[in-house]
Parts: sequence; C-alpha cells; structure tokens
Amino acid sequence: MIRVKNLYHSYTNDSNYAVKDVSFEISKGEIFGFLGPSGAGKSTTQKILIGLLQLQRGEVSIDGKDIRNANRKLFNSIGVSFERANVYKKLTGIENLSFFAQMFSVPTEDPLKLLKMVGLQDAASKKASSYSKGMLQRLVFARSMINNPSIWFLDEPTSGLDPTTTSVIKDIIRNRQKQGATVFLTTHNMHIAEELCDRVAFITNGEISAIDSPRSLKLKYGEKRVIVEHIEAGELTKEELSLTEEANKERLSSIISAGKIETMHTQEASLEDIFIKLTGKELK
Amino acid sequence: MMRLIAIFKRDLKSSFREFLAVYIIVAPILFAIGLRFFIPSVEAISYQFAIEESLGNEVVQEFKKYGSVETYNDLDKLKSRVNKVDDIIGITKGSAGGYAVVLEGNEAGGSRYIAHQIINRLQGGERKEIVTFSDIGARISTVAIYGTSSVILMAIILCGIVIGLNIIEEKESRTISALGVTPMHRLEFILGKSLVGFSLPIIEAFIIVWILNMTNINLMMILVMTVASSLIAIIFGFLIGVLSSNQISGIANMKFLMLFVSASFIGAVALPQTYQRFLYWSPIYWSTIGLNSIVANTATWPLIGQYTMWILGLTILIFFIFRKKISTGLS
Amino acid sequence: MRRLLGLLSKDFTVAYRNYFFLIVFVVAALLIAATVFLVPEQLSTGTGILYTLDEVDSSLAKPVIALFEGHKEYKRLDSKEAIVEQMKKNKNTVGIVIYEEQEQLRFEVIMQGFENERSKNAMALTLESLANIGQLQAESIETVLLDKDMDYGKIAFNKSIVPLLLLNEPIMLGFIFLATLIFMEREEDTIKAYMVTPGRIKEYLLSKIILMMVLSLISTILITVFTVGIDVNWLMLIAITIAGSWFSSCMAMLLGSFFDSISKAMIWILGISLVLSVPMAAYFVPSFSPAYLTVIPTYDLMFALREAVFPGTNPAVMYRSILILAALGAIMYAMSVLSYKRSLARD
Repeated sequence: MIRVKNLYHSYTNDSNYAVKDVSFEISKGEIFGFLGPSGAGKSTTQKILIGLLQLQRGEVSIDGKDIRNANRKLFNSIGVSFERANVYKKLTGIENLSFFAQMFSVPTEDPLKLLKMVGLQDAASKKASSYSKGMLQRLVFARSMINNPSIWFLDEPTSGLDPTTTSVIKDIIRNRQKQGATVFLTTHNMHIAEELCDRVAFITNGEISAIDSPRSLKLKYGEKRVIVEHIEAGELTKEELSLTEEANKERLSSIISAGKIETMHTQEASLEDIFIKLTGKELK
Repeated sequence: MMRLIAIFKRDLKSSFREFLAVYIIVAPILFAIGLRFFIPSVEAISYQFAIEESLGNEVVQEFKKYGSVETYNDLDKLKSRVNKVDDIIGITKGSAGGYAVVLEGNEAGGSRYIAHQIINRLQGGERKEIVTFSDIGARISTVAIYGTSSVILMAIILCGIVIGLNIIEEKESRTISALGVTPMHRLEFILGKSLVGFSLPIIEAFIIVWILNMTNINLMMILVMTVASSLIAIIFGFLIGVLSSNQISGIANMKFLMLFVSASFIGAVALPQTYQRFLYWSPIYWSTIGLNSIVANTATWPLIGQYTMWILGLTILIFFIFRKKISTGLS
Repeated sequence: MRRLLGLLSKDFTVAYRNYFFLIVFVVAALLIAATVFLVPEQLSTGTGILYTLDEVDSSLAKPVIALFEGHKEYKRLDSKEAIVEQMKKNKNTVGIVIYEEQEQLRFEVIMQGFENERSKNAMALTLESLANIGQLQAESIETVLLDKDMDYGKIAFNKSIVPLLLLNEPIMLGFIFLATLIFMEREEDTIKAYMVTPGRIKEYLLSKIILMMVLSLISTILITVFTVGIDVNWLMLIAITIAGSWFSSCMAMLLGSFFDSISKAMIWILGISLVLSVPMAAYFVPSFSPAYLTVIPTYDLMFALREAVFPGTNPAVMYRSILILAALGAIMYAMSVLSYKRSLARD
C-alpha cells in the first residue's frame, strides 16, 4: 500500500538531512507505527508521504502510484489526523466537518455520526474556539475519517486525551483496520504502539534502526527476567534474575528447590526498554 | 525604576527581533525620502501641452514658458495623448493655416483658454508690460507643509501601534499574567510600555525634518508638539492593546484608528475655516494644525501652548473614559 | 464547483462571524454620512484669487471685474493689507491688486513665494489677455473637441469626492480584510488540513477573492446610491469594482504568502496602501501626471471610477483600467499559487 525507498530530506537543501535513507513498506490493512522522540524525523517523513513536503530524493509510492506524479484525486482515499489541532475556530464542530466533506469527490461520512463516535455530539454546534484541547484533538481525529479513507495517517492521535477517550479512539482505529484501512501511526507513546501496531519502525536522528512487529522485537532484543520474592535466612528478599544467563538460571532453580517463594513474576521488556537499548535515546 | 527600564528594554528587544520596530522606524524615514522627491514635482505643476513638431521650435519654446511640452510628429498620436485622463492641451496646424487647439472636453477651467492666449501672443498680439509681481515671502509650499506634518504624525502613530502590538503579544503569550504576580506596580508597567512611544517619535521627528531640509523651523516647538502628540498615540496604543484579544483583531482596531486619524488630518487641512470647529473634539486635529503651523513658520509659543493644552485635555478625557477598560485589560 | 461552493460558504461564514460584513456596513454608513452632511458642497480645489481695486476708473475695469465676479474662486477684498492677511492664513491663494496708470489698467500680483516661474508667466499672460479682451476673441483659432464637453468643476464637491471613496474604501479595505483572513487561517494552520484533500490552492485562493469582490460591491453600491444616486454607469462601475478588488486581493494574497504573522506583514500592508493612494494627489489637479504617478495602477482606476460615476468623456480609461488590473491581478494570482505551495513546505 505504501512503499518508501531510500528517502532523504533536507530542509536546508544540503547534506544536513532531517531524514536519511529511510525505507519501509506497509501492506494493506496493516497498522504501522512510526516511533521516535520529537525531532527524529517522524513528522518530516509523514509530511512527505501526504504531499505537504516536496519529495527531494528517494521513491515513495502510495497504492502503487508514484507520489511525484500523483493526481490530487489520490487524496480522496487518504485521511490525515494532525497533531496540531488545525480547525477553523470560527466554525462549529459540525460546520468544520461539513466543510471538509465538500472538498472530497467521493461519498463522505455523516458529520454528526463521526462527532458522536468521538463523543462530541453535545458540542457539535458550538464554535471550535470554545473547545478544550482534548475536544479539538478529537475533532481533528473525526475529521480525518470524513472521506472514509483507505489510507489513514494519524499523528499522535491520543496525546492529551484521558484514558477513557484514549480507549475509544483505539477501538475506532482497530475497527477501521478490520474494515480494511491501512494506518500509518506516528507517535512517541510506546503503549499505544504496542497495543495497536502490527509492525513498528524506530526512528532517531532521521534514520530507521529497526522495523518489526512489537512481539518479535521483544523476542529478539528483550531479555526474559523473573522477579522472585522469597524468604532467605528468615528475611524477605527480592531478586531479579535473567532467564538466559547460566549463573542466574542456577540461582533460580536453587530458590525454587528451597521452596520458600512468596511471589514470582516474569518480567517482559517493554517496547520502551528496547527502544532505549537499540537507539540509546529516551522517548520524549 | 529598574523594573520600568526592564519593561522598556524588553519591548525594544522583542520589537527589534521581529523586525517590526525596524520597519516602523524605517517606514516614516522612507516616506520622508519619497516626499523629498515628490514635493518638487508637485511644486512644478503647470500646464501640459502636446505640440505637433511641424509647428517649429519657436512655437515649442514659447509654450515652454508656460508649461511642460511634449512634441508629436503624428496627429493621431497627439490626439490619443490628449485623450488620456490627465489634462494636456494639444496644439496643431489649423485647416486654414493657422493654429488649432485640441481639447478633450473635460479640462479644468483655466487650461481651456491658456493655449488660445499663448497662440494669440505668437501671432504677434501686442504686448504691454502691465503685470508686476511681489510675494509675501512664503518659501514652503502647502504640499511640503502638509507632507512634512503628515509624515511626522505617521511616525508618532506608528509608535503607538508598536505599543499596542507589544501588549497584544504579551497577552497572547500570557506573560502579562506572569508579570501580574511580581511586585511590579501597574503604573510601572504602563510607564515602561510608554517609553517606546515617547522616545522613538522624537528621534524620528528630527530625522524627518532633517531629511526634508526643514532645518530653519523652530525645533523646540517640534519637540513640544511631538511629545504632546505622542500622548495620543500612547493612549491609542494601550486601547488597541487592551481591546484586542489577538493580533488579528488588533489590526481591525487599527483600521478604525487610521480612519479616525486620516479623517482628522484631512479635515484640518481641507475644510474651510467655518467647518473646522466640527473637529475640535479630535486631539489629532490639534496636532495637525500645530505641526502645520510650525512647519509653515507661522507658529507662536502662545499658539503652541494653546494647542498643547487641547491635546492634553482631550487625551486625559479619553484616558478617564477608558480608565477602567485599560486597568482591567492589563490584569 | 462543489468544492468552490464549499469554500465560499466557509469563507462567507468566517467573514460574517469576524464582523466583516458589519464593518463594511458601518464604514459605508460613516462615509455616506460624512459625505452628505459634513463635506461642503462648495469647496474650491483650485487656487483662490483675492483681488482688490485701487483707484480705478470703473469704465476701464468693468469687463475685468465682471469676469472676476462671475467666478466662484475669485473674492474681492477691501485692501491690499486684507489680501496679504488672508493669504497668510490660506496658502492656496494668490492676490491681485488692480490699479490704473496712464489710462492703462495694471495688475500687481501678490504671490505666496513658492510658486514656479511658469505659473507666474501664465498668470501674467492671462491678465494681459484680460486687459485686451477684444483682441483675443478676434483671433481665428480653431478648436477641436475630441469628446463631449464636460466640466467636472460643476459637480458638487461632496459628490465629486465619491470616486476617491470608492477607490479607498471598497478596494483598499479588501486589502486589509484579505490579509486578516489569510493570517487567521495561517495561525490556525488549517491550510494544511485543506492540502490533504483533493482541493487545490487555486480554488482556495479564488474563494477568498470572490468574498472580497462581494464585500467591495456591497460597499461600492451603498456609497454610490446614497451619495451620487442611481444615475451612474452601473455596468461599468460594477465591472471596475470587480477588477479593482481582484487586483487588490491578489496583491494582498501574494504579500500574505511571504510572511508568517500579520504584524510582520503589517508595515508592508500599510506601505503598499500608502503608495497605492498617492495617485489621489492627481484627482483635483488633472494636469499633474508625472510618470511615477501614472504607472501606479490606482491612477487609472481612480479616473475609471470617476468615468463610471460621472459618465462623460473618456470611456477608454475604463476599459484600459479593467484590462490592466485584470492582467496584473492574474500575474499576482499565479505567483501567489506558487508562493503558497512554497510557503507550505517552509515549516
């Protein structure tokens, strides 16, 4: 569905690249997570994909069409949810959606239905200038679905939302995936990525350091560990042991055979740990 | 005092960083330079003639005594020149061998007959020296006077706008609330903001006067009038600042301010004496006539004092009307 | 087409909620009121002549005085001192003392002092001709009139300034409005959301231009009807207003694409408005037409508006002005489309 090959981009038109040699492929119906700290090149890549930045070097094709000579009609099948809440503040929620509905030449969703989905039905006829940050975020999210996109770009769709709303948004994303939508999700929130994405790409300093499914990344780079709480010499001790190192394994079996275990948990590495391990950078 | 200067410095810095202050300082100076070139061409306004070349150099020279001359070797070109929107009188050969005057039909009064009179003289009309000239010693034309005072006024008003934009900026970035929880007194804030409005116009006014070569006017009077007029601009700046929630509405308010300023200026310059009293309520009106009289060298200190009192009085009145608005708008 | 209608309905709603329509009505009402009630009907725009008679044999001066008295810009005063006093107050005046010497009528002309040599020569010539009025009329000079006779001086002053209002308000107001609209959307960053729909930049910009044309037309029609009346060349007036508004909105659009905030663009908006209003200097002084003035598109536009409001002598200027403004607007429109595409890629 989306193919990116050897993508480079420089804002200064020199060898100072914001995106360096990025390549990946996303197949139809996949949720692809693009993860990295701010300034890593996530937004630049997304902007090139959605045509807001000119393609300088490399190849990008969407739905088999090279975006260099793509027709604007291509946008009929694309939806974009921006991180910045860029809506018309003087228009109401419903007017914002109706306006965008008129811009597409394909059948569009009912604006009110979309607002209901994200819980904005009560604010539908209030001006967007009176919306809170979270409401604006949801409005932008709802807007990105107005043309029933088959390719869906989501930029930090849950930032600043409360847990309940976040799970509503996650459900909507999963549902649309079931209906066959391809999703390109840009985020620095590893939990969202872990829960939603079929595959993720780690990007730092404009370069991709790993692409795989969250599960295989964990299997590949995550060390299995156990945390055991047991009574030793009359006192409660807590130990963290690796399941791969010989010495640790022996220690674990000796604890088990002593038979004084209070609690025992396997400790999986989180995607965040793996990110730090692979890139040496924190996600911020 | 320290805090006051800190606010002044902050305003200067932020204005310079945005190049806004640079523009606002440079703009009136550029206009003054433009005016310097504009004034002579207005002062040289005279009749315009389009003359058919075949009439000969002698004819052209005679017409040049009374106006600027363009020559044409083709009658159609001459006619299409006369047909342009400005007033220009065509002179060609008449069918009977004499002269013919080509008019468009909409020429202003005097220019219709001047060509006939010149031709009359060319045809050997008797000349008697019956006109003598004297003058009352006014060396500065009306354009130069109004031009100079309008550029000075513009510099002053622009500085008020800088104040307005700075306040809007502080409101948008919410630093105004941050300042509100420091020991700073509101008066310090107001004075700090006003310093830009007082200092820049004075410098500008002197640069403008110098560029326009008006150095023989009373500079002390210019100083007094500029400072007094700055008060109006400062009040306007504060009003724009507190009434506008963002830059966009700031610009909209400025549009109305400009309408008011230009109406006062044009009224003061163009309305006949009997109508002028309709403008007494506008402090800009008093600035205008004050600046005009200084540039024209007809101002006296009592007169300047009187104008200054009007400005002060009206400005204080405006301040009292909007006092509540300003103090709530700034907190 | 559906998209353009969608854009238009959005832009009109936004403009309405930003009180643009209200502002247009209020400003038009203020201008109409000022024109009808405040601006005097009689106001001399030329040089005023103050004259006095100094021991003149009345029979000799009679024809000259008769001429002077029939002229509204001429005013008789009692003495030379009175003339000088008046002249100091009003710099737009010249004094003439008429006296007699050796049975010959003579004139002492009192100038302000800054007048040029040519004006003096013309003044002398006119007075000499007046003194020998019989001689002038005896000459056989042909006069070719290219158009209808039309004396703009006969139009009441407050009506005669209407073309200036029509130039200034509807057309220049559009300049400020459009810049406001553009920067508001820039602040909201909504153009990015638009750019990921099939919509094109040219439609996006065109919709705003149409909004400005409608606002200009409202203003123009209101001002014209309530000051001059309905007896004007409506077809041309509307066509010229549309062309003028097209020109000014395209210019505002192009300007807007270079800046990212309105306060940065502000001084350019003011500066350009000022340059565009310089040709107004020539409105009451039609023989003032230096090249630097006539090349400013508002010069032709101003006279085209006059021609439409006071139909008369020079229809060509209307067509020329419409063509020039349309062409300039088209160039700037094309440039703004390009510039917008670029500026989107900037941040």
